[in-house]
Amino acid sequence: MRTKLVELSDAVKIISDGDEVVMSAGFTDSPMAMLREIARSDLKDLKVVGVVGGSINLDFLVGTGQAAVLDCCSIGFEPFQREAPNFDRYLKESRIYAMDNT
Amino acid sequence: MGVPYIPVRGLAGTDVFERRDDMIMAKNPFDTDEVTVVAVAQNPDVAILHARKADKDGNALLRRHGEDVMIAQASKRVIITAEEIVDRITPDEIGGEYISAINVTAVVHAPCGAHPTGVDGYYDMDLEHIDTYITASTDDASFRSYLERYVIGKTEAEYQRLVTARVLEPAR
Repeated sequence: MRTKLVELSDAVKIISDGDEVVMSAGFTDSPMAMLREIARSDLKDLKVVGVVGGSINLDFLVGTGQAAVLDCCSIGFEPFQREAPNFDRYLKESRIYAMDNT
Repeated sequence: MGVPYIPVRGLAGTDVFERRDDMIMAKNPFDTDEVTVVAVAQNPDVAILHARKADKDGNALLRRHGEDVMIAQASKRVIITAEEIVDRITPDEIGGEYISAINVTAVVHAPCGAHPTGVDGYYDMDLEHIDTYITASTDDASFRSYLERYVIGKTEAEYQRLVTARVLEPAR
């Protein structure tokens, strides 16, 4: 069986502009290294889905300007008792489209 | 799950259906007096999941959360980043949720790859860095500076050196 082991820079090529990208987790187990690699790429207009919910992971892709649509049941910085800062700012400025599944 | 849609009871009675086309109200075919929300299946293009361990074939051990397996199975392509690459992960593995190589497209060795969030048994979340992130998120210019300092134009190894230099510094 061929190995599926690749570098971050190869894995990011699996993603295309406009893709629906799903992730889980929050302040534990968030795939931040991959999200940083997305930030280093030119990817844009991603539809980002959080199952269940989201925190710094979804907020990061909003902050890099690469998320056009967010689809989740909630997003926040719950351990810090505050809103997700980039999401909150982008939403108030109507710079992202948020689909609320609460 | 492999189903085209699913009935759910949440959201009934709200006006979200006027604004989106992925959910509708529909009669229960077995009891037409009952109406529920019916949501179309989501099959995302890419799933990104961070694992504790993975092997080079794509088998992985994730935190114990059932939704992670469901996400992997529902998505067209799956990227797994992992704290450790080991010889072999089997369904009998203890300490987490098993994801089969069948569902995985690519595996990346990313030690400390969840930083600044934590991974049980590996490291805690980095409160100081999250604080830096929150402060940087005040406006576009400051978040751009944050990205330029830590992420853009830097490799992941360089990011890790930047953030762990402080973490590993002995307390005074």
